[in-house]
Amino acid sequence: MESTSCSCGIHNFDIKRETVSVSDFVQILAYVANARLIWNLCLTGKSAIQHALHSHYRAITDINWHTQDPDVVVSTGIDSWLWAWDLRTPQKPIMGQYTSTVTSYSCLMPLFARPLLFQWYVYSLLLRFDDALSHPCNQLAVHRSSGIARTATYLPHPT
Amino acid sequence: MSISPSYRDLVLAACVHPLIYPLCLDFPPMQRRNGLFIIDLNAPSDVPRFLPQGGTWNVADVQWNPHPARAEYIISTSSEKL
Repeated sequence: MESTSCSCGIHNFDIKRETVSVSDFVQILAYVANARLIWNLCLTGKSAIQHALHSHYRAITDINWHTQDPDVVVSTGIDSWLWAWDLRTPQKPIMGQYTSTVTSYSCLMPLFARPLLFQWYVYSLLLRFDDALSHPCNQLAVHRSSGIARTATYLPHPT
Repeated sequence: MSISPSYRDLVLAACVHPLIYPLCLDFPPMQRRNGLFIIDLNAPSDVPRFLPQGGTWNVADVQWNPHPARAEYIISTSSEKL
């Protein structure tokens, strides 16, 4: 990998910059409780913020990239909303759904087989087909105890 | 923490909570900065690339785009307003 050096001019000292991938154009998305910021490191000014997006009105609990579409990202939060954004059209989200009154703690997209979006609530696991990030196809009541599930994961596909 | 699709770089999210920030003033500036550190695993002892984040925030999560075609994207969350 080619390595370059430049000055970011932050706090009066230089910061080494290296190319981190095939491109030296790096964008960072910073999701705040009720705002999302798209960062472009190619901007040389004080701020590298390229876009500011607004969706969640409470804290975000999980974010994940779409497994099929590299430009789509989904997030969920304490406000129970599930939002999906396409970086090619950052002006507005491509999907937003509110399906439960309880906190949503996790949203997952398996890296294999059928594209499903798992949305993990306090007491239930919501399965969504993500053909168009459509309505939930199934909801499983997996936690009936008093415990709170804060995260979820998936097993590797056997093949 | 998240890894790039090429498995070459790590991104670490770091923050200092505003309540304890005054207690950290004796630390070198690099050790009390809010933002993302990108570590090159081919040269882990080098100074990491730092991406500053202004304001008071607490990093909750960071995810590198797993698609090689969009390896330039990283997403991070924050639990406080800027």
